[in-house]
Amino acid sequence: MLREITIEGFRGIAQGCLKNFSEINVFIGKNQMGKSTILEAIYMAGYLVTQFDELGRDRVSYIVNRRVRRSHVTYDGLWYQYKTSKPFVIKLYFDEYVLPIHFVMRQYIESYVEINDVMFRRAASDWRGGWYYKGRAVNGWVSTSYHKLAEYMKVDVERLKRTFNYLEKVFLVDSTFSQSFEDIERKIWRKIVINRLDKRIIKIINESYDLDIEDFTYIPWIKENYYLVAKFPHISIRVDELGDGIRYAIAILSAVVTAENTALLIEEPENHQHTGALRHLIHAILLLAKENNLQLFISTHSLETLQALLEFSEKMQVKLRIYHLLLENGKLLGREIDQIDAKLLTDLGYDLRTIYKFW
Amino acid sequence: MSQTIAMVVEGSDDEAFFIALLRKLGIPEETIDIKVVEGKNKLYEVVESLIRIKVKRIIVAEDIDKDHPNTVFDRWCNKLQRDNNTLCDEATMTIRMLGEEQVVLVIPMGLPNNQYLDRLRIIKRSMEDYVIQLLASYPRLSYILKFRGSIEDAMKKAAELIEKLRSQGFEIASSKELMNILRIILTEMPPRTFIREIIANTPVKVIEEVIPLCESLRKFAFF
Repeated sequence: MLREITIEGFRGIAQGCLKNFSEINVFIGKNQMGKSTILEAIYMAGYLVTQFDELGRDRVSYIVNRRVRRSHVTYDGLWYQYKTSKPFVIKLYFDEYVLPIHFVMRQYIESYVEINDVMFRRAASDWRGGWYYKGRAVNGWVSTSYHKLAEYMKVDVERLKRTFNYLEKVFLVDSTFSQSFEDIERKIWRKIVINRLDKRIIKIINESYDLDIEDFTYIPWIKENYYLVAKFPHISIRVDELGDGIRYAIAILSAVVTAENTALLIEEPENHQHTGALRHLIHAILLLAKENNLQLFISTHSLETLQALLEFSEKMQVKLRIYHLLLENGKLLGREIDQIDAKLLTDLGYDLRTIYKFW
Repeated sequence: MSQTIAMVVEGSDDEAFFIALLRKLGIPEETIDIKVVEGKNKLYEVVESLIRIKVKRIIVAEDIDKDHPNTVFDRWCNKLQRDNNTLCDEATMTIRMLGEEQVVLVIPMGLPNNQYLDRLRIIKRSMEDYVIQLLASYPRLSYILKFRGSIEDAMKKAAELIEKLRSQGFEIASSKELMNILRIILTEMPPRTFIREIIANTPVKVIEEVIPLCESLRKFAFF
């Protein structure tokens, strides 16, 4: 499980550290305080292991393009104040070791682990093909396996492998994700149907939105394209035409039912959601995350989301921690609020989103 | 701009009392955020929580009940003691968390030496002591409350009523009960309105004479 993150020079964060991560981690704070950047940093860390996520999205391009789409893409925005001359660093602290991941701009963006001035990186195609490392005393890159990295780090290779698997599968769910439903259908839905996880999604969606979807199926539509449709008793509707809230919920649930032993990063799950449906959705996310051993990182502006997370995490006996983020001149300050304090103060009527007025 | 102060009080009547008092003392409403916590144990829990989440300035108002105000303060000081990093100042009733720039102002609520209450054997003291004393100190309040007699008459009547109730086996020991008996004699207002009206219609000078916490509250709010 990821315990801590340190960020240097990434996006709007010049320097910042968040500690004591638990099973569920919730980021709150005003706009422009680094909530999305933290999610992006964890997602970006997966680039060390694989360029593409489970949906086949290029992590770097996705982060760059997901907020604003332009005809010309520049990557310098990933660096704090566009200072691409030195690497930005995302240090991830796991239970027994730290992975300091550096990102540099060359012909394309490269990532490597630097420990004691020795740099380890994956081969361009696939880390399974082997690792390269370069020490200051070594002339040129030398091919080696990631076993070498484990040996160098003096950690159990199986543990490191688990960490790599965790990073490889790290998945970011945001509003953009629900707009690219074609990718969900092509990359995830097969896995969902094969394991009949669609039944769970249908049950949750029906309960949350008071619908009576009987099934999902693919049908040919125009030309040779197939569309995912929801079958109601008297009509079938393309998923594309379902309401924004339902579509976002299906997207989130698709990610939660299929991911395992990794981190799921969810940006504002409340988007487009009615308050009653949101409670159901949060409950389902927590339940499935517990089943699938997922560490959750959630950003939110919503009091209802926060309250539902507190309520259901307590009922399910899952540990939750809230981070109230403040960003001052690039320095990230994360005030931690543990589950007991958060519950006590929220029940008393404190709005944790505006708790900064007391600081 | 300075931070908002987090204030915790024991009951909703205390909340009404402080809202009216702050207004009377010219302390802007947004300066202090008041929350009601039911039960003394929970009061400790909430203050501990507020300290843990790094709230800079906290006010806790607790009824003195049968204790002396200094005893209440000492109790808080002992509770919040942190490895020699806590500085308790009885003169200002403040507890400072050194290094964290956090400070807690303790307001023990109630008048421990009040002849009228002593005479009536009211031993459980609280915020209502102030309300009763304001009535005694500012007799014009009877006009404002549209009471046909004098406050003195009402107080005598309340004393008689208490004795009668006690002879019938009712235990009347708190100033909260006494204030409510007085309220029923004087007016039909509900408790919160009664408290609010008394504070709103009493001159600041009288309030400052009766309620000892005014000065420290003002200092703390405008610090």
